[in-house]
Amino acid sequence: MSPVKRAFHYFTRKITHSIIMVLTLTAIFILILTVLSATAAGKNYIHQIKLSFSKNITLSSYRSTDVLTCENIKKIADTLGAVNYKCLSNTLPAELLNEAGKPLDVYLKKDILVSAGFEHAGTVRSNSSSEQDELFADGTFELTEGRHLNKNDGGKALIHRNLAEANGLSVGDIIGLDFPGEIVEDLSGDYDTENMDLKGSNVQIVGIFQTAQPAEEASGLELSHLLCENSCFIDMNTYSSFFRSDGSTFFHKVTFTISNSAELENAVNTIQNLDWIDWSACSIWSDIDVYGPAIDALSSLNDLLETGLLLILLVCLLILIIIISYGVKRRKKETGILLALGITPNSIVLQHIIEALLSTVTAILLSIILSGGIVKSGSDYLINTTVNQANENGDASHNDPGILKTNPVFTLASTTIYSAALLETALVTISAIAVSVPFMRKKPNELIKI
Amino acid sequence: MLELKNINFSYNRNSFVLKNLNAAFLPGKVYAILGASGCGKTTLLSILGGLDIPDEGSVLLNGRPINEKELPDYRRKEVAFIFQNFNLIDYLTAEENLNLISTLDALPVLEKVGIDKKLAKQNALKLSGGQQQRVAVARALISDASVLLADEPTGNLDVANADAVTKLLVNYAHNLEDKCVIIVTHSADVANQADVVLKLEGGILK
Ligand SMILES: Nc1ncnc2c1ncn2[C@@H]1O[C@H](COP(=O)(O)OP(=O)(O)O)[C@@H](O)[C@H]1O
Ligand SMILES: [Mg+2]
Repeated sequence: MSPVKRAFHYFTRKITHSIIMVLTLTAIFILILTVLSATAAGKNYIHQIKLSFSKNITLSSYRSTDVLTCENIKKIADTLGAVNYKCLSNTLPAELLNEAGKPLDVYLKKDILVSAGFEHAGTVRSNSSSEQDELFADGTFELTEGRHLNKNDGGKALIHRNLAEANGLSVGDIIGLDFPGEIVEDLSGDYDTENMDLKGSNVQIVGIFQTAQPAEEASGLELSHLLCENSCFIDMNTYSSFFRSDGSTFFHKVTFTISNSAELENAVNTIQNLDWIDWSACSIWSDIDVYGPAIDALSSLNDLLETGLLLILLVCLLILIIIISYGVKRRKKETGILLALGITPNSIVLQHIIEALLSTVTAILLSIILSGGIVKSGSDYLINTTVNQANENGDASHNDPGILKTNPVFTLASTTIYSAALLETALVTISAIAVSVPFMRKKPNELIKI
Repeated sequence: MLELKNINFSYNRNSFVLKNLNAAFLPGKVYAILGASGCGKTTLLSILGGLDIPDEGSVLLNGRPINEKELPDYRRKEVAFIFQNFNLIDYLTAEENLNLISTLDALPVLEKVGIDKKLAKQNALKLSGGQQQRVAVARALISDASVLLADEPTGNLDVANADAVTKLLVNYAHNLEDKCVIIVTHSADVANQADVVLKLEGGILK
């Protein structure tokens, strides 16, 4: 009779023994499966978060005019292998005048807040080319007359149709920009006005734009000079002239776009490691600042689970060895008889392994039926608590990151089942061998009373 | 074919069970071994059957000593044991206990020892003592071993069954000429049917 057949008979006829084995192995399997699933779900979740990262990194330097120069921006972009970079508009509030120096009528909608000294103020935006400006790029504004500003322009401007109509201005007219005391005072919060030369300037209108899609309704405080209708664009050279610098064109804010969201963290680290950037005057911002706490929490949960898994496996191994060795010791007589009948020790060890594996297979099938519920809730609970805690502790909640609010979609992945099954099979086989082999060294006479 | 040479054996140092024992068992013959209870008959069989190893001396098969590594092979191919306490496997039926060591059809062999098909399909340990003993005999008969070692095989049987079993064992040696049967027994009937009667006394065979 083959060891397989003996094992099968033993498994199907020693029912109590088989039930104990199957139940133990079921418990162990569900435990392993839960830990593996939670780890996998956590990893997957981190991956999903990283994939949902915007690929943008924004570097700002409001207090220094020599960091984000054109050359430096290009240097950083090359280092990152960035697919694109965008110099975000630099903005300054300014009082808008006509050629004669008389204040222009700005748009003041109902209930709008007008700061003292800002009754004729608008916002001056500048970029290397106005077409690249985010407000044009995202479709908020569209040019309806004249042309865009480019980097070779000097003393040129684009104004809103609203401002043009209210003040009878058209392409070719001259307007003035001025920085009276109130505005300079307001600026000093954001800029190192020591380094600024706010003497004002006259610019010629080369284009007129209008609001194509109204900007999202800003909640809370809205200031008159920040309204779209009161924005105007000036060329980079004119803008630069308000700052004392070495003359090269500079920006206060640049957004780099990388090719792969998953590389965001590396890219941020790369920038942060650039030693020529004076970090006391610069700041960097990316989605990592939003999702960081959640990712960190999930990572440490995963580390914990992975260490825990090792511990669990060891404990399970011990339990299995105890249970199997109890079973095998009770089978002293049977083993003696089999040996006496000339059945080889190998064949008997094999029988014990197969018996254990029969229990394992039954346990795994049973677990899969049962575990749909148990593993899912166990794993979901772990992930959700971790993420929720991270959300509460971190600043993620303020930024309303959609993905962290949605529950991780749990699926009992077949790879996880395979891994768990493999682990359990290994445990069982090791235990069966560890218990049986030493036993087979005995002579039949030591095992049975003949 | 089977020979014992200068066998010494003891379970503990102060008292020997077998002492400088020599014996030869020839094919085609039935041997009966008699002796008082506790004189070492079972011990002698277990050494012949390769279940235990003598302290000194050797067991020779066809003139060649059996070494320890060959024991599982020797047990499977050369000898068949009928244990005093049957030693059937408890999770197998009578039939399966025979198929444990043989691929032959077990039912005719069981029939010969008076175990019918219905009993053959029952769990071996659910049978009575006598029935179990007959299954144990059948398990030895089906093995086709060249040496059959029987430890009081008729001990639990009524006269009719004892007679039948003894005849089967005797025939095993007589009908198949290369087989030898060694029976430990207290029964005069069995001894009478043996070709050679030996007495174990003081650790040696006489
Ligand atoms: N496993 C054992 N350990 C120690 N002593 C044993 C063992 N088996 C048998 N003996 C002793 O060896 C002697 C021979 O036993 P045994 O061969 O069973 O005798 P028999 O079969 O002739 O009745 C007895 O005195 C018995 O007590
Ligand atoms: Mg005895």
